[in-house]
Amino acid sequence: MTPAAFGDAPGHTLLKMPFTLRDLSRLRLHIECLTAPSGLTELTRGTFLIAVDAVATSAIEHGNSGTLLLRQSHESLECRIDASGLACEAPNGAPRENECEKSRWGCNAGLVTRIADRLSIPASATGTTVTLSVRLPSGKRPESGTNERQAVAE
Amino acid sequence: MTSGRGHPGMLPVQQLSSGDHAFVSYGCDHAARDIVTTFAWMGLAQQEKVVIFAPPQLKEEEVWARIDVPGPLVADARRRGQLAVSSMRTLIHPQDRFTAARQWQRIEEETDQALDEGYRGLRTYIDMHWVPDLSADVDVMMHRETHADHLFADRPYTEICAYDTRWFAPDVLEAMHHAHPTSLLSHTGALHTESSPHGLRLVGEADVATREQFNAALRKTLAGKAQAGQVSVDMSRLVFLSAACAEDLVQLTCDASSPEHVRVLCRPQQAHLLRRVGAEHLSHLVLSEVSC
Repeated sequence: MTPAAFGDAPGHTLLKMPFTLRDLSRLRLHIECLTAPSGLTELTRGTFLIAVDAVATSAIEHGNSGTLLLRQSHESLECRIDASGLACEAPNGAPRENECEKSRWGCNAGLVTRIADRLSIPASATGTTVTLSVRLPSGKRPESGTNERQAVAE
Repeated sequence: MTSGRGHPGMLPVQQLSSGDHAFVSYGCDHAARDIVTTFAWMGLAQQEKVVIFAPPQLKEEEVWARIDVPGPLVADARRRGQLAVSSMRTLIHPQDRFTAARQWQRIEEETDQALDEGYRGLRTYIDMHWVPDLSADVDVMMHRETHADHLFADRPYTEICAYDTRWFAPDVLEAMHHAHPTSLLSHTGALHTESSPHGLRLVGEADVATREQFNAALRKTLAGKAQAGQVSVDMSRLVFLSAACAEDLVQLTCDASSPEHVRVLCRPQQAHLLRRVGAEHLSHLVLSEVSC
C-alpha cells in the first residue's frame, strides 16, 4: 500500500511521518504531543503509544522503515502504519493473514489486540498496513469495528 | 547508550520538573534539536512559559525551524508569547558585559512576569555558546552555575544549560557536569543503566534500539544478585518501556538463576503493561508503583 492510499481514512490528519530506527523516539514524542489534547486518560494514551511502538518496531525489524499516519475523528483516534517492507504472500500470491500475524507480531500480536479498540491487519502481496484505533471518551464506537476485531481474533 | 555509575541526578529530559537545574552536553546538532524540542513541548504541555536562549550563531528562524513539534502547538504558543527565542545578550541588555548578578536579576524578573501572565512558571534552555559570544570568562560562568540555587528555590523555574562538546574543553565539561544538581541523558532514545547496591537502576527509554542493552543489564544484575535472594530493579526513571522489553523482563525473572524475589519500582503505566504481559502470575515478581 502506498502512502497515498491513506487519504481514504476518516477524520483529519494529525501526523504523517516516514520513519526508521533512528526516528522512533521522536515519533513517540510527536504522538504524545498530538494525542495530549484528545481527552483520553494518561493510561489509555500510554497504552496506545505502546501499541503503536510495537507495530512500528515490527515494521523496522522486518523492513527497516515504515510510514505512520495519525488521524483523529470525532469518535476515535486512529494510527495506520504502512510497513511496505512486510510483504507476505502465499505461494500462489494470495495474502496469508494468519501467518503474517504470527510471524510478524509474535508475542506482541495478542498484546496489541488487547490494547486497541480495533485492530486490522490487511496483508497484500506488496505490503502491509496495520491500523490501530482507540475510542475517544465522547465518541461512539463505529459499528464496523466489531467485525474487524472478530476477524483478527479468528 | 550509556552505563556505569553516572551522575547522581541523571534524568531523561522528559522527567525534568520545576526546580530542576540540569546540565546536558551535545556533540551534534541532531541531539541538541531533540533535547530542546522535548524540553519545549514538556513546558508548553505543563502551561509554563518557555524561553530558548539559542546559540548566537543561529538566526532566529533557524531556531524556530529546529523546534520539531508537529501540529499547531508551536505556532500558537509563539503567537501568544508562551514560547520565545532570545539570547543572553538580549537578556542582560543594556549591560554588555556578563555578570552572574545581572543574569540572576533578569531571570527572576522573567519568572515573575511569566507568573503574572498566568503561566505556572518559567523554563529556559540556555545554549552555552553565549560564553564566547560575550567574551565571558569560564570561571565567571562556573561561579554562576555553582551559586544559582536561589533561582530554583524561591520561584517555579527550570533550566537546562547545554554545552557543545565541540567547543568546550573536556575539563570544563567535566566540572560543569558535576556543578549541576541534575544531568540529562545526552539525547532522547538513550538508555542509561546503573548498578546499585540493591540491584539495577534504568534511566531513559527501553525500546528496540536499546533492547539488547536492557536485557544485558538485567541478566547481569539478576545473575549477580541470585545469591542475595532479592534484587531491586528501579524503572521509575524510564520514560518508555516497550511491550517487547516488558516481556523480556518477565521472561528473565522466570529463569532458574533469578533471585527468589525481584522487586520492580515502576510507574503506573509500566506496571499496567507488565501485568498484561504476565507479571501478575509471578509471585516472586513484585511491582511497586511510584509516581515521578
